[in-house]
Amino acid sequence: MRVMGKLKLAIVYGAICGGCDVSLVNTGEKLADVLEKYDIVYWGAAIDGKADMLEKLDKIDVAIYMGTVRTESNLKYAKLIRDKADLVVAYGACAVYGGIPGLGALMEPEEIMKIVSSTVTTESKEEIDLPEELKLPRILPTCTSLVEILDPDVMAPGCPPGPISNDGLLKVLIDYAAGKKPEGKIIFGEEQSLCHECPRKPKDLSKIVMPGIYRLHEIKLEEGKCFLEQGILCMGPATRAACDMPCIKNNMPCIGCMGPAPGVDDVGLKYLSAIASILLVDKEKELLENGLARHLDKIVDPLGMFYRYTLPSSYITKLSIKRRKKRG
Amino acid sequence: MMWEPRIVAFFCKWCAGSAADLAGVSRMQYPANIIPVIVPCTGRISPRAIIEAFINGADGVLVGGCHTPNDCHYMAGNFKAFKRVYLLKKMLKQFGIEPERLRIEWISATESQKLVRVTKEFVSQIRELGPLMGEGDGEA
Repeated sequence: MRVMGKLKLAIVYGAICGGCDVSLVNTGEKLADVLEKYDIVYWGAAIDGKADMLEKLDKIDVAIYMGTVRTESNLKYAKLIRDKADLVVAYGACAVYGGIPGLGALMEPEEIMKIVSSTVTTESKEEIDLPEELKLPRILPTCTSLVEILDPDVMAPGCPPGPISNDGLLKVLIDYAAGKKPEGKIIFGEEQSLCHECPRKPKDLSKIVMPGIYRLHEIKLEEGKCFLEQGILCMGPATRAACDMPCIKNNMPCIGCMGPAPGVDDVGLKYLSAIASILLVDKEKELLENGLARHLDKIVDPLGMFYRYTLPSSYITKLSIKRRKKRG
Repeated sequence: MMWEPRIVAFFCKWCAGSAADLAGVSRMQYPANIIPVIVPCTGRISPRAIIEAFINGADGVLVGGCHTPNDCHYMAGNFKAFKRVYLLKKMLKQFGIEPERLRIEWISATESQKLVRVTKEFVSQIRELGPLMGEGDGEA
């Protein structure tokens, strides 16, 4: 299986849905160019190989990590690749910011396990006495992104990473095979927010006013008009421009999978602040009598909406974790 | 050592801040648990500043600004503060933190008595809620 002269590439999973694999394979022929230079030593979805083979290797050249760090086993392999690999890539929103599984950071692991074993759709069985090596890995007290655990050299955000991240990553891989290791940390995407590139430009850039908060089914969307100006919550202002805007182009607002815009470390708080600044401006005084709060209540789940992809790496989570620790 | 609630109060310079000044020169007494921070307008208090206060040991945060609808010296800063605080309270609840730890009050420059009443009320409310972090963080 091992071909001499080729570099070793390992693709390792954390808590993952599988979308990242699909996105990476979708690069098609470009991936074949990479595979001329690399030998895949471990990739659960694509090649036959067990984790102990990975453990036996002394050195890996490039390791790609997908998914959130949620269980002890995830943590073990995250540390393993940092020890053995020269270049570590955090691939996908989960590895870089925490992603959707990261929303579990707010719940106690016991609560999560209780749900897992008590809902109608899951079958619950007592864990029988199994030899240690057959037991399922334990769940960690909280879930974190890979970035918080180790220092990846390359970060490819996105859920799943789009063409910009993928092309960038394949280029890095080919350059690395040619002997050029990237300098410093790389994060794919532009150094600006999505709004800068968005084709749905508002009429007056200096004054965007949200006429209220609506859900997509409540209004007739005007094509080509800024979502915020139509009262739809769009995460664009707080999100890094690192995609081809597949959502925006298909008449859906941005949901922020590319993570915080440069200079922002807590998307939710920044976005909350931005929304408060542009929502119902100039109408506040009339609305005060029958309740300004009623309009704000239309944001049913601010946490899930604003932190959909970035909860474990956000600033506010520190508060919740610190509190839990102190309470014991 | 007895635990004492620590409260960071963001007051706007024109209304609540002046009320605090007036309370001071009128020799009114209010609890020493309040740490006032004077800002030009409540509209400039970012949610980040409030969360930072909580993380660094505050048990409660009070925001004091000018009365709605017409008192704000910058037209609509108080509305912005209201919207931010309202949404942040909602989010704090989802994070498992009592939203009552964050309070917004409109206090005009002449209402030093209201300021005293509000601070007393808030301190006793936080005292009932207990420390934000377990046994209190013990820092001075």
